[in-house]
Amino acid sequence: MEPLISIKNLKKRFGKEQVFENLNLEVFKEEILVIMGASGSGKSTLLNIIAELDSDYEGEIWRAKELSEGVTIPYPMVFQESESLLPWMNVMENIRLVAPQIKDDRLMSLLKEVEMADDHHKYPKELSGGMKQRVGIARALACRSKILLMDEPFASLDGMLRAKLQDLIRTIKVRDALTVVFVTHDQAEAERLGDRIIQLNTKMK
Amino acid sequence: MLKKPVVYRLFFISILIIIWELAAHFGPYPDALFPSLVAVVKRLGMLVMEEALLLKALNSISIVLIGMIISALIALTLSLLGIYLPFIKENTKLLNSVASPLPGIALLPIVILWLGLTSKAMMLIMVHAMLWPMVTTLTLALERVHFKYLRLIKVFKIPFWRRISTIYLPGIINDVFAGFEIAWSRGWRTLLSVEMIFGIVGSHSGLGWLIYERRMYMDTAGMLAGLIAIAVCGVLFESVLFKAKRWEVFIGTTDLH
Amino acid sequence: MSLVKRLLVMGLLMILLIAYSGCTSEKHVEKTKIIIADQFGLAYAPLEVMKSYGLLEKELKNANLEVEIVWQKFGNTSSIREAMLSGGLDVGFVGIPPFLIGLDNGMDWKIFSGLSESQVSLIAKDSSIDGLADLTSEHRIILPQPGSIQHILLQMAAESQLGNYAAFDDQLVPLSHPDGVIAFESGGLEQLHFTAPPYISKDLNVNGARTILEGKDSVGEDYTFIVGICQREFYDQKAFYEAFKSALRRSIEEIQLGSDEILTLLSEIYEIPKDELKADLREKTISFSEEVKGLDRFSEFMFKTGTLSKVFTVEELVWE
Repeated sequence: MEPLISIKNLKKRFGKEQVFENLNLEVFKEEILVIMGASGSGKSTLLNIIAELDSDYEGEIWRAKELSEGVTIPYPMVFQESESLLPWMNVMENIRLVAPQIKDDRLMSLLKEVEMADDHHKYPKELSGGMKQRVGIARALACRSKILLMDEPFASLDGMLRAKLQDLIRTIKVRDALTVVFVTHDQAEAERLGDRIIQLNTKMK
Repeated sequence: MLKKPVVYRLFFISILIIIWELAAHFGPYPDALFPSLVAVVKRLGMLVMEEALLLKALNSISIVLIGMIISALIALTLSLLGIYLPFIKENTKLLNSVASPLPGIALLPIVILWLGLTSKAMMLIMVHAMLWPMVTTLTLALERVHFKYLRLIKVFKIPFWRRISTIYLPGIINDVFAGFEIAWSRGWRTLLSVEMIFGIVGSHSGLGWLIYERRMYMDTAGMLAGLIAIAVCGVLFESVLFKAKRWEVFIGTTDLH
Repeated sequence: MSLVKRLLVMGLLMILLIAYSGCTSEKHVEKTKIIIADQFGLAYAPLEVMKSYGLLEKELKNANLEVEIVWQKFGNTSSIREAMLSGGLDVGFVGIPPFLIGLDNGMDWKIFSGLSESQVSLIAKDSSIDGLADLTSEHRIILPQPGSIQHILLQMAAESQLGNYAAFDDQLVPLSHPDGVIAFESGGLEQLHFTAPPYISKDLNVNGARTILEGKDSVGEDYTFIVGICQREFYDQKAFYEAFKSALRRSIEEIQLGSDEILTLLSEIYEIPKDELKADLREKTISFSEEVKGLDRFSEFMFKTGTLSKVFTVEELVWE
């Protein structure tokens, strides 16, 4: 099968530190790829590079055309809770922020997908951690991209909630035919969620 | 015994009033130096009726408000540009450190030499007095908000102008109001001292000029009445602006960072 | 001690403090100095003569009086009023209107002598202005202070020419004469300066400057520009009072004689060429005399405009 993204010989430095030395990675269609590693192993950096946020690296990255065809935002991300939603906007407005042209019915159906339809008028301070992340997911989905990036989105949530949200991701992936790249440091989460797991250590292959 | 702070204040004020009246009536001071409070209050009434005290107060207040708005706009522009253009950021810092310690009143003679005794000169002094604390507050606030939501902005490619209306401005609104409070107090004090020393620089008669004029006509009671008016304005305004903080909670932007 | 008691004790202490400070005022102290206030301008020339020739010292010596003589220069009249009110001044020289305002507000002072009559002119740089009627709300008139003789002369002219004495009351810029010259020189066309010699000629040196109003035209008759005033306290100390009056008389006589020595002295002090000075004296641009003229005119006008609460009689205005 042809990969959607192919990374060859990725090298990156942060000042004196060599974060990646010849990293090779492929992302395949409709898989959940989990990138695992301890803090500081460069997983967020890798995700940023994949998301085209960071172009300061050496190596080759090949991306399939279909990723950027017809989409304004090809690599939407779901973040950790603290940098997630804007506190002065309600749920609907937060989603509209990234997709200003979105129609009401599509917005509501997205919220239904994440089970947040009843709370569409609420403000982040009225939402629990889990609810906020659901909104974050809906926000990313609103971009109609082929791929979804997630940077430790459930790190601050407790076990049961995590499991529910992990199941939600699986459901959405199937329903919307998405590819997911998921970063985490939690072994259990990686095993539960990932179709494939890539382990980042300090010395990269 | 009631322990409320209001009671303490009222008590203290009453004692002061009694001492003042005793000193004015029985003390060895001529009326022109130390008028009785009754005379002062009468004068206050007369100034409202005949000398358009309220209008002059409004004039003074409006000059400060206009200056505040201009300063806020300049401060916002400088902060915004500073985030994206290091040249602006560094030189704003430089200007701030050099200009900030200079009191408006010290600059006035030079400004008058350049711009004459016009309203432009007055506004320049006012803006200078109020701008620099706002610049400091807003640059810090804007940087904080910008970096907090930087990844959001980049990932979701939020365009420049929409960033301003949806992220930057709501994010710094607390600090804008805090900046307004500081700017107001600096501006008010600068305006009054300018009016008192240099008379009317500009086209409108204000409270500082009123006090100065009263002194020239030996109207000490009037001078004191003017001072009371100034104090009342200052207090009223500072608590009106304080109430602005309550608006923020209402809108829902406070205690959320 | 309860809170109430504490506050009452504090209050009592404050009252005692105030009473004490009142008792130590200078009224009860033997006279060790004479403090004399004057202002900027050629109108005060006799005082400069008095200073330079030690005329007051001579008179005091003749009367067997030993005191220190202190001269203080003020930029405007209200400071002189305030200084006199708080007991720090014996003799002052001011215009008639500020004197009247002080009197009206309860000051126990009167005129003991005239000092000078003078040209007092409103000078403009803006060539489009020929008179008061051409002034707009953008123009600014520099003069020593509201309530000064310049201000009243302006009000008189505004009343007779425009029917509104207060027409320019919101356009005043208070600066002392020397500061006013600097502002006038460097400022824009919107500035005018109402001033007296030697500052008139300094202003007229500026490009395009010319006189658009003369004080005498406002008043309609001769008037005394500056008078000498003192409070009852000083008047009652007859020996000092008479000594000062004699010294002043001598000084005025010396200037009227106009010797070369005097002219050189004044020329240096005021930084004007001797010839100009000579011409001024000859043409009566400025003249010195003990006579007091124009009191009624000012008194009536200022009563009419409400600046004064009553019209004063001569006895209320002049000592003796």
